Amino acid sequence: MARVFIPDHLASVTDNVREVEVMASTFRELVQKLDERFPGAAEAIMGKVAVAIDGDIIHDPFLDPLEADSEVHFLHRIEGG
Amino acid sequence: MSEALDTREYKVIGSRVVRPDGIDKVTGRAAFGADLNLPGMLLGVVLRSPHAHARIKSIDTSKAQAMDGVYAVITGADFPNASETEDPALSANVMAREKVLYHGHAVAAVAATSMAIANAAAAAIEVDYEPLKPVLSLDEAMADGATIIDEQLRTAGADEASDTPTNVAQFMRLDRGDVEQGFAEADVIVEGEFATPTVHQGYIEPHACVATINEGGQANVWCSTQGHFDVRSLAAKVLKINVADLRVTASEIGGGFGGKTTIYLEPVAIVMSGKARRPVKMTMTREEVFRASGPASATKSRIKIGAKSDGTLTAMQAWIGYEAGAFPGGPLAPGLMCVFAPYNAPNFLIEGVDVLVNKPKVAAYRAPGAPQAMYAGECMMDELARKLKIDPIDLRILNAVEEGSTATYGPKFKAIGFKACLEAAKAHPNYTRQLAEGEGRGIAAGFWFNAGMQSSAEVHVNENGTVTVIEGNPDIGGSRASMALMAAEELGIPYEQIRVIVADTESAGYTNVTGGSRVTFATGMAVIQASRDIITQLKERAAATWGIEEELVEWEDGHAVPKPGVNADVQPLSLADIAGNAGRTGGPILGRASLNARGAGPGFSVNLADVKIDRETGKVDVTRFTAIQDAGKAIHPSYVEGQMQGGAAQGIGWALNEEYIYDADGVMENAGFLDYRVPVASDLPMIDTQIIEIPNPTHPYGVRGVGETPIVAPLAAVANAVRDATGIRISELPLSPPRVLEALDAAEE
Amino acid sequence: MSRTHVTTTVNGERREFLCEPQQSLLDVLRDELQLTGTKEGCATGDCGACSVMLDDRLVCSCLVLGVEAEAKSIDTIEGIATDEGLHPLQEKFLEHAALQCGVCTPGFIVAAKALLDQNPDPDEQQIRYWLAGNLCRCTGYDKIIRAVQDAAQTMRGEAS
Repeated sequence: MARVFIPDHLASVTDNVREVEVMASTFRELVQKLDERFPGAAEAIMGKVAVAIDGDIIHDPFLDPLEADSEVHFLHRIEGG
Repeated sequence: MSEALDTREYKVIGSRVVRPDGIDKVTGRAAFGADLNLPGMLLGVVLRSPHAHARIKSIDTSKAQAMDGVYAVITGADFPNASETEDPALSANVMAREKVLYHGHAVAAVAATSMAIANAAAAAIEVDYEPLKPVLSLDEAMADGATIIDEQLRTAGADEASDTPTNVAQFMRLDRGDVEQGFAEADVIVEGEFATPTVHQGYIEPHACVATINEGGQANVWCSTQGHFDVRSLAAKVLKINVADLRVTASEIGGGFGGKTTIYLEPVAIVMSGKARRPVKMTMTREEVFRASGPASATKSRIKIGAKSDGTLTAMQAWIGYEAGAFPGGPLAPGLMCVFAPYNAPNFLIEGVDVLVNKPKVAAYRAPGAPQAMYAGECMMDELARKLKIDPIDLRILNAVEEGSTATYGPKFKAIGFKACLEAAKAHPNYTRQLAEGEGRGIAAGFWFNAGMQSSAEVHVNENGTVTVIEGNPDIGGSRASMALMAAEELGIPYEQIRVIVADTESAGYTNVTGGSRVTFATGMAVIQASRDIITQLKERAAATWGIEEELVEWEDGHAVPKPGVNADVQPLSLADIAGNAGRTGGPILGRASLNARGAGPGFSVNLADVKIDRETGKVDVTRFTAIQDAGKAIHPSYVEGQMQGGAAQGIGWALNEEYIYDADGVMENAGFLDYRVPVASDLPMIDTQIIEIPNPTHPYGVRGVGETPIVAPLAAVANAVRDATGIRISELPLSPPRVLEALDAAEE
Repeated sequence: MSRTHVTTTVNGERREFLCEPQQSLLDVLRDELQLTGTKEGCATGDCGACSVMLDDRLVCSCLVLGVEAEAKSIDTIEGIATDEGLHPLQEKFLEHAALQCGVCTPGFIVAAKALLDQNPDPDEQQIRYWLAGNLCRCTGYDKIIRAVQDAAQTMRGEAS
């Protein structure tokens, strides 16, 4: 089960649940499952936030694979100068 | 896309070769934004608002239209409705509609046969304004009863949704643990408030572009930009045109530092070119660059840190307000994510706001948001070390994040070089050098995420075995050299046999901006993969030539050779051999790669600053500066050092002199290089550098971005040195002579 | 607007141009003579990107009127390399990576050449003060100073 950490700015979507475990093999599947549990999660996440999967920050996550023990963090998108 | 780390010995990576575009840049041949002239070309100028905040009642362009030599006069009415575009703020920033929101906001534009005529015509445009009260600071903007800049604005991210108009565009919070409990457990607590001014990137080349559009709506733009694909997408949004109808060619770029990641002139020039049916060139004056491009946010912040008496942190708290300028979008998120990123804090609460003021819409400036945030955070770490009587480097080493530590912004760090930088600083001779009478020394840490994102590269093998690399990132500081080095390393051929072309939006694969310190990392990864694609094909060609199986061939030192143990009576084939025979073995050899690079390795730095203060004038001189930074792997060490030195100079300028000075009406009073004083050669010492190489495990050579991290630490390093020299903590930048003198005088009274 | 006929020498060649009274020498070089190696960074004499030699005197060409070039001799970045190749300053700027974006580089090379032509052995402080009128925002000046020192050494015939 991937451990998913919900930041403050998405906590309203998850009824203030800040950490959940999700069985998913890709990021897309993870978001689908989050959305089943917390309707509106997919809309709040897809294309709007970046993600860190096991420490690697990804800007447009979608097909990225997850391991059984992956840690997933949602982040604000950062591009830099 | 990420890659396994290579552990081979490098042949050319890490060498200090001459950049391939160098000769054109030292002889004046290189063509920058303003250097293109086309037959029949007109010159365009922008009429700008004389008010910081006003309603536009009417615009009469008839006198300007009637002037000889004037071919186009446009206003907001010539653009698609801002609210109907995908990015209304961008559209309204490019050309004001109902309201002007800062002094210098574009109101109209003219294209004419000469600058003299264009300027005269712009002056003949009559604009009737209803001036409104300008909002010029964070405090004013957030005060009860503040003048509201945008009636439609509501605070995003607020705990409780409100329908009351506000100037606060966004609220954000990062937290972990129980910060109150953490302070209760602390033996020592330090607190402080800080302020930083609006500053400008100060690139030497002003914004410039040349646009043409034909009767079929197909446009060409040549411009100075950090990302021509972004110019294409942004201009297409403002003009509601098809990206396929807009070809953008990046000129050589005379500095950007984040300020050339958006657009100002390009849509204006396109619209005027359409009206005039001629090419239109537009360039900003230096004054326009200051008043109407995108500077970096002014900030206010409050920091509180608690620690045990041995220095172990128990709680960290921050509140940081960023001025966004006239439209939402200050670097709030990265600033909050950076402020305590170097430290293990069991409990923290980091909050902040993005706030509208009647100043130009801010743009990215090198590690956007981080210098302001970490200036405040690192000054308080210095105060904590003083209060605890612990060496400031030891305090940081005790609390430093390392591989496996959880960052304040969420994920666990992979291999990072923060401790290595701190240890290098501790061991550096400049840290133990005896200070002269009246000198002070400061240290500070810097952090930046670095970005990955999308890149493409093609590698073409020419008939004589030379190679052309085609990519889409404007070369802002030697990236052609680093791309060529990486291709040379992979292909095993001399660096000199490789040419690198920065191609236009129709000739290169889509590539994100030259920003986020991403080019050597992400586009470099694409070049490496495209080179590997070539090698696969070269082995196939060699196998076909020899009539053996492909698996029996390997690529070694620029040659195809049979694998050890393969019994084949053949001579090694060089890249030139295979290229010369390509027509017989399947035609031209092209390699390509496109990717969305993940896992940009975070960058850490430690800076040491020594300063000397003139008691009579309050002038601070930096007498020695040492920049230490983890580059992962330095592809071209000279250009890595150059980033470290240049970032140090900008950070020193931010710390000591640079600031937008506004009058009560919101007019910038120092919109020129004489009065907005960036460091000059006589202001600075040599800047000592030490590159640390802790490989980034997600890049084949271990590369981390290096471009932005260097500007983060200098602000606090210099401020801490001034604190050390004077015994006074001045908590507002810049530490300019009048401010320092006032503090010294006050302390003596 | 009436235009003035100006005859001048640019990089050793006789050149003629028509010039509006308000046009700066910088505008004339770039727009009339197509010598775009000289750059505009500020047009107020503060950044040095437009540095040229006017009768062997280092000037900001944005502060000189085009008509003032009458019967004068102008040397620009385009005239610094010769048939023999690059000038030692150009070589050393490349070798030391003394440029990043490169837009200030023509001005720095013209200004540094003016220094070395009159003082073949300047110390670091002399170089820093001489070049204080040329802004560079990329390099922090360190590698520029070293390139000028190294070029001076080469020009003096000393091994670097």
